[in-house]
Amino acid sequence: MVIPFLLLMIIFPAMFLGLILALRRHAGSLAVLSGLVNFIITIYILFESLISGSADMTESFRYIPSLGITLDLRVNLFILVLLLMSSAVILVTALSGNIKREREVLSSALLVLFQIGATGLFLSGNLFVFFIFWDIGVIAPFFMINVLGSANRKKASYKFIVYEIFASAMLLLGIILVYFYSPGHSLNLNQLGTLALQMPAYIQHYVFFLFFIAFMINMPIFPLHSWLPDAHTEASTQGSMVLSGVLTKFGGFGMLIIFTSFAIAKAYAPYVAVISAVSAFYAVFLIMQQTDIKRIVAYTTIIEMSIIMFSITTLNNFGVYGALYGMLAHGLVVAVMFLSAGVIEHVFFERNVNVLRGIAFGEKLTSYVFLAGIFAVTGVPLTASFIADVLMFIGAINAFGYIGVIPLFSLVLLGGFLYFVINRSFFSTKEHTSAVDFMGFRQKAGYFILLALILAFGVMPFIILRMVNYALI
Amino acid sequence: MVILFNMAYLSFTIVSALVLMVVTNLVSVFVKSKKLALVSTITLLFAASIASFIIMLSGGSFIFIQVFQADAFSALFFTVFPVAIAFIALLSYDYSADFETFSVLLSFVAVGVFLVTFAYSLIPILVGLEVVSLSSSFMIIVNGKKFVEPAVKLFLLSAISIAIFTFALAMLLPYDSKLVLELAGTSTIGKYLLGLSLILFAGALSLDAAAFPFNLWVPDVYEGSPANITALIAGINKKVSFVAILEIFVVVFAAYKFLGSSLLYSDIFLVLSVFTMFFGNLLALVQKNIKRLFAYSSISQAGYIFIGISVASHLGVEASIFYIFAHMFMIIGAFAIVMWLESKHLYTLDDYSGLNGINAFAAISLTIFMLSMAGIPPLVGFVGKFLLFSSSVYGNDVALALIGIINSFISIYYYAKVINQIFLKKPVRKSNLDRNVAIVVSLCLIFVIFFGVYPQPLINASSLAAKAIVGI
Repeated sequence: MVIPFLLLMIIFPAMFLGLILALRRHAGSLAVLSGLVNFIITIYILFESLISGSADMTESFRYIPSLGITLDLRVNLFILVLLLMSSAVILVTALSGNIKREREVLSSALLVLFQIGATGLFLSGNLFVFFIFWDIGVIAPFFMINVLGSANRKKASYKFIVYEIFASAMLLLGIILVYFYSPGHSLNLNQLGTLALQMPAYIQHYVFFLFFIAFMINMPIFPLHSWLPDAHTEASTQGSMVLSGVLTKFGGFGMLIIFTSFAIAKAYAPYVAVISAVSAFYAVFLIMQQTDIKRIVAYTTIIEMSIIMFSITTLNNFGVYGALYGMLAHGLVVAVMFLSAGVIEHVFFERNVNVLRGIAFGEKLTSYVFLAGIFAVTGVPLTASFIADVLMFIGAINAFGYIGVIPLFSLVLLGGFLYFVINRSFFSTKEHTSAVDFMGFRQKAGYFILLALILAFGVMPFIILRMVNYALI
Repeated sequence: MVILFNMAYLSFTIVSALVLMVVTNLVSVFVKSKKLALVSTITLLFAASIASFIIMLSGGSFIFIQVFQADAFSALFFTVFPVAIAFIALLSYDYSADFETFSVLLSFVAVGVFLVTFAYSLIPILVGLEVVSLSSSFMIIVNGKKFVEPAVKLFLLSAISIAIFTFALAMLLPYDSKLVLELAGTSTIGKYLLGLSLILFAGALSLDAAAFPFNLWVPDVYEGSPANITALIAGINKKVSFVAILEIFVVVFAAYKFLGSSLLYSDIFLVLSVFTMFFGNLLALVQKNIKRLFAYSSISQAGYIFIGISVASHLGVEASIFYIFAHMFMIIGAFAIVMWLESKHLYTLDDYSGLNGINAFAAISLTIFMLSMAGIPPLVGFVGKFLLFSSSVYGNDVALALIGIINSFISIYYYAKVINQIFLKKPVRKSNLDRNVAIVVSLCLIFVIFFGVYPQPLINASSLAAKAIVGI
């Protein structure tokens, strides 16, 4: 008998969710256990794929036979990398995100629900399953903002749900179009490219456009980004960590799928590249106005995701795998930054960088971790983002010539701003904001896991890159 | 075993269960026993439901007493409707002023539902619709003088509807002299009387089903009635009129084309569905009273059901049937919680703030019901909407699917507003759900989640039912 590992990655969290709701105690530990189980299964899949040299795996189960819809699950290199990132981020979020350890049942239940959504989404082998998990993955963070968030949470959650449900409505319409115009009513993601070619040309354009809008909102890219700063700022620390660490990767993953499988994507790629470059610079100029530390981290998400989008549009091996590596790096980095921002808020009871002064003297470890996070965001060597940036901009130069390097300057500006902020607020020696609380062991463990992974993927990129299938693009 | 699957015996079981229910409930009025009324109602409804379930499994078709027909369509509906009626009985046990009288009227509702679902002729549909709406307006009025207004509104509405219905019957008579539910006239141009009859039927039934121009009674009646009866009207009355719509249009007028291009009833319901969805959703955005909000939301949900009817295909009818059941249990579950909160004098959106603190189970269940109505997977509402929109795309009407999707996007606006209020942190007193309410809510919740995660059985059943009426 073959063990259905991929199905187990959805069933285990579902069981843990039931346990949390039924027992109503030890909720935090159960959530950690749920994260750990998925992390171990992911590591096992990584190990197996390293041995066999290929990450491809599929599982299929009966689901709605009368509509020809099956419960397909699959793993390939894209998915394996994103699974690694998401399971690590979710594990750390469960372990250390709930700093005050308050409302543990609700927060753990929502986190495990989100885990089901995220894992299922990355694993999904057809668009129907993809959509179901997409919405689960959107609803759980909605409650993380709406119920567990900070002062302005109601408005932020409202904005979030309206944007995201609009995205999922577009996605649903696209999926229904694919369902009816593809031969044999197939929704298989592995064959999306060939299915798309068999559809009428105008339908291909409709579908591509609908999917693009949905993923663009989720990523988010410039004109449709305005839900993100509010949502990430007002969410609980756990919410912010999974929102920017994992939820924005739903869109990135979707973009990877549509740009690598639709043949018509080539025609759109240059325009999308321009939009995403504009988006990166737009966010950089907005970030300079911000004073809230969580908001600053939120805007770095927009910049990084815009650059990842830019890199996907290059449609060559360097660009696409660079974008994939960028998502891996960014998920880990932004999680550690939001965690340290949450700790700073917890310790100093303040998020405004104009008020925070000299906090490195009150909370040394967190300040240095935040500094390490900034190093990682700006792509300093030895961090995973460095590898990602190198790959992405080699891809950009290959595709667009030297003009393709322009978006890199947004990272330079970002780095300049962040070093300025941290110099003023964290390491200033004149005044000291006094600490009102202290952080626990769990947060230290969280820092350790995330930083270790960032370093590991920065030093040993071959873990992932040796499995690259160059024939894909 | 042969006797068990004999259609005649099964139909006889259903009829006798209903008759017995009316009799025992009448007896319970005189012996003043609430318990007897509840027990007899629930057990006999359960028996009827089981008998129809066996009819559905056997898959045959059987005409009895000349005007009734037992087939997969009627059997499926009569498997589910009694369960919903039993839920209403359970809910009303502690919340009804005079439960014995209520249960007699409720057994009349069950009889009315039987007449409509098992009808082989148009006359039982007429009588059944009348019985259902009359009984519910009496139910409202037995609660006291301040309920006169909604009762009279419902009564007048059903009177108008029945008048138009009867007129439509008269128009149909030249083409279908026995008034049986079979195809009336083929698609020849020039049968204007038949077209007029079709339009009148559409008017009469859209009054009952609260389609766009005729839906102004819904918010007033929903708001004015006690919440358990609102649940009955939303869960049973309106759904019965959908059954009548399916029987009349998909069977009798299945081939009528006015100008030889497309099916007339399909065009009518296309327009109705678009307007009904927008009307319900847009007005729901500004509601403050929670029952009015659900009233407008259920108007828009009726619009979704019309999508499947207007598509006029096997898949469309199947999707409509699926969504009728889905919405039935979502709305009954939601109104069960609304009823419980009404007994605590909480009526408006502002009153609902901090519901999570009052009772977490009620808050989470209400949230799940609303998410399901908004079409969020993996809940039953999503599967229903997927089927409906798919049927519309399959019928080459992408625009209708787009309108439906835009509408479910609008609806998340007001559902999120309620959810916002529910999870506000406020100092409130904790309170336990009543046992009966908790039973009904958890059963509805199980329905919503189970058929959302694993919809295949319900899709199969709806498909069987659709097969029984499409293309007769």
